[in-house]
Amino acid sequence: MYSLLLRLLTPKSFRNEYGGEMQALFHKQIREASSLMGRAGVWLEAIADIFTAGAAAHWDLLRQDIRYTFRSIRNSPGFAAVVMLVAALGIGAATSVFTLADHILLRPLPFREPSRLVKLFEDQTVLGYPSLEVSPANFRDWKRQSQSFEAMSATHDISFNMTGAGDPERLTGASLGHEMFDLLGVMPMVGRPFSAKDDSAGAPGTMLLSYDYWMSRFGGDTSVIGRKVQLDGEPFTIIGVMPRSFLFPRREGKVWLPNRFGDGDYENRENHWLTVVARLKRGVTQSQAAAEMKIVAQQVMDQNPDWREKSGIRMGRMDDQLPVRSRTMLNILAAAAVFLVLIACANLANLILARSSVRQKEMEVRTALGAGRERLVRQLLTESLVLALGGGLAGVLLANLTLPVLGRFVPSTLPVAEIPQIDMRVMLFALGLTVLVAISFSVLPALRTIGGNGGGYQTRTHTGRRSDRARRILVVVQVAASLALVTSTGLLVRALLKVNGQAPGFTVDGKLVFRTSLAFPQYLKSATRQQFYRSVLRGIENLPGVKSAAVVSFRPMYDFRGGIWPVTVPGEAKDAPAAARFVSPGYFKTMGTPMLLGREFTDADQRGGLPVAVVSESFAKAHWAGQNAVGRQFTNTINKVTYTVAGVVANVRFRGVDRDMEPQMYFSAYQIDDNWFPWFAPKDFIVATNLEDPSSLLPSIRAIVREADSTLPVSDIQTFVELIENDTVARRAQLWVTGGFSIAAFLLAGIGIHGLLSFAVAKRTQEIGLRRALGATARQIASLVFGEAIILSLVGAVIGLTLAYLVAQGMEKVLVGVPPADPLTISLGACAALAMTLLGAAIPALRALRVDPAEALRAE
Amino acid sequence: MHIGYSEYMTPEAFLPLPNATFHILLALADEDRHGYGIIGDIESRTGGKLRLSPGTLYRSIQRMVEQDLIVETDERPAPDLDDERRRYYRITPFGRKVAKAETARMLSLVDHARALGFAGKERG
Repeated sequence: MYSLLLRLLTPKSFRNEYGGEMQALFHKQIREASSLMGRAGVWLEAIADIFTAGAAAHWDLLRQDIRYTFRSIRNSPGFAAVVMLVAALGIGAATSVFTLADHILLRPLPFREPSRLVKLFEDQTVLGYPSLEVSPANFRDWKRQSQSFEAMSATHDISFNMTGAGDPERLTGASLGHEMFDLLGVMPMVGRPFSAKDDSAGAPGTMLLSYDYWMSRFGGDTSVIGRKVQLDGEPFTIIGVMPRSFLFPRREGKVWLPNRFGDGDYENRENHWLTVVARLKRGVTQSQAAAEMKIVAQQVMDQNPDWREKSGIRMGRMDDQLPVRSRTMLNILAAAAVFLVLIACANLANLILARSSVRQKEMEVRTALGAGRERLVRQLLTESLVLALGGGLAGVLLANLTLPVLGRFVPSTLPVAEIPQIDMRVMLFALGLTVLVAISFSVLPALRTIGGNGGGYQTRTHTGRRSDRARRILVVVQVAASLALVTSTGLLVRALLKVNGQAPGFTVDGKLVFRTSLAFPQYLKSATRQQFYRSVLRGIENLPGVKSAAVVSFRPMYDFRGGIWPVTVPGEAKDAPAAARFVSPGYFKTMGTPMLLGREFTDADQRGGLPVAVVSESFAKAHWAGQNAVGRQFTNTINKVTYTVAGVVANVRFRGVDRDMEPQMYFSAYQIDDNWFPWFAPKDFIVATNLEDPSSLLPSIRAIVREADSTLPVSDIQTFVELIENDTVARRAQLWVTGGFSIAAFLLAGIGIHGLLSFAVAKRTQEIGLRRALGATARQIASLVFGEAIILSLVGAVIGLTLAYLVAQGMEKVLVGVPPADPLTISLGACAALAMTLLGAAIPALRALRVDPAEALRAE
Repeated sequence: MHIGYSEYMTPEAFLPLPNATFHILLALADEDRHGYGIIGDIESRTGGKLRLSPGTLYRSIQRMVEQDLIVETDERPAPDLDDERRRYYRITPFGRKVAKAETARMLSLVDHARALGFAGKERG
């Protein structure tokens, strides 16, 4: 028992020296203790004693080893620097990816008991929409008829023009049901939340500010509480400020308003625009709730027999709403980081092995002087740990630098901050990883120290051969991992090229878009709207350099999923979804979207005339394949108007260059009825110019809008070039990161090959000299070196390409159809690996050629 | 494998000595002792007030051996009396110097205290 404690708690060197003595003393004390109590006392004392003495002895050794480590760092600073650099690369990469993953995946959402929070969607899988936003009527009925939830509330995006506080300003945010505050467990930091009264129709307008907006616009002044502002001309009172961490439902929101549903909102179950959040009752599991909601969905359908577009209910945990693409990107990054850590460890192990064979003499001397093997291993570990800690620290600093880039991977639909922070969790991760790296790269040299039994030529050559094999394996690992990385990067490059080459359905050069949202109810009348549009568009078209201008309800590359409505086509059994856009005459000309058939809207398409629509090629193909679509009719189920197709245009990738899109239908902005769908009133103005920099027109544009209506803001200004760039920003950020990883990996693997061969050449100097003396040609000597390099890289390449293929299959979601086994990418990757091998081998080969036979043999 | 401290350190560099270290040096002043002997000697000299635990003792011994204050001896003063596993320790000349230096330090401290009137009749 006593010796077990000694074994556990004291270092071996101390135990071997004094363990027996201590044990003898202990037994003597036990013998001398007269009573049972006395013996127990001796035991307690002994346990405490071993603890303190053991800790102190360990501490002594550690201090000694650290001193020794610093001495050896001083002796070979270059070696130490390389080790730390390599460790920093691996640890830095892994830490930054972990920071990101932790930020968007692992960390609980900033709400009370987030595991009980769920999101509810309408499930219209039959129509191709497994999770749609919810219509107000369905939300109301679900809420009334379900038992599983403590609370259920809804939110939707809103935007307003704010006046009454300086220049008119475009405000975006969300409406919240008053239950939302309790439901999420977040209260305003200043002021009060919405109450049921705020939600009721006719109550005075109230609003809450986001922390960031409060700081930037009002300088964090608490006296804004109670201040009145105009939103779209209506009075609203600021009643509070939400805490900084409240970024719900998406992080760009500046204000929150109470949810208010008019009777009209409940009429149409086919208009989906609410995001529904609920809190499960304590003890109710998600599957129980899902089972109940299945019944509720059926009930609601039974109660509304005339509802055409039936839908089920889909439920998901709120902290499990990461978009598939983000998840895929994260997986790729994680895989890349794992590869880089692997390469870094292999590289470090190689470095340490090479050095430990240089230090073999030193170790033997120390062993001869009585240092136990355990002491030497311990010292090697301490040395590795100190170096790795240095590298880990540098790695965390490196990771810190990557945070702003990482922010681009954080989807704005998550209620979390954009830029992740490095905090205790991340530091702990980095520390754990550092220790792991230190242990893994010192295990081989340490094993070797244990394996050799302190001298003897036999043993040395034996372990020497074994470590050569270990080093070859390490090089193969590096080649394989770096090839897998570089091939994956190559696939991402191909995907980006493909995306960039994708025709978006419009032209990009010389174009500008800005948003001027109309204020309601002022602009509910169609005639008022038209007058405004016409005056602004005419003004802009008169500017020098402008070719044409138009206005549309939602510009392309805009993250709005709504406006996808079912249409009824005569002769078809089922309604089919299509994406709606409202546009002014001349829109397609301005966008540069090719007109394939028929005509576009003109000023003659007015209310009272024949309702006309322009449809996309995909729409025409879906419903009238092989026929002329012009003149055909379909009914929009939302407003029950039947439209006649006037023209067919090319498909537009309005959701993003690399995303699939629904068939599209366009309606004339001038044929909208009064009071109809303010949310879809055109607001994005497109200006086509022949100017190099269309944004130079902005001052004139602002003046034109001000002249037409001085209360309306000009916001969201972008050139089309920026529009496209922003659309692929996550993809490019990803490419930067994996590209950086793979360059680092390649460098490391190249260094690894170089190191191995240099070492081999140095060891075989005599053999090479002898061969030269016996008449070997330069070519034969060079092929000796290159031969080894090529065999190693071939083995590495086979493994690496297999790995790359497996990784690429997981990446399919972001590869936009580039095959995982893309022959071009794979052959380029293999060529790169070969080039790296040859480069890595070049210097050692030259050195081998320069061996002077006479000198080499004399040295023997 | 270590380099002896006595080769490049002065006795003063060790002052003040840890309590246990000084007592061990005192215990070894006139004869070589084994661990248990050291504990017993210290205990009787301090009237039972200081009783070193085995851990403290051997940790001190380890350090003192490294510092060249004591050495382990191969001679067994009384082999018949004791278990032959026992190890005996002897004070080194350097250890004596260090003990003297510590004593001098304490004496001068006591002198100071006396001058300030702390060494009165009353006993604490």
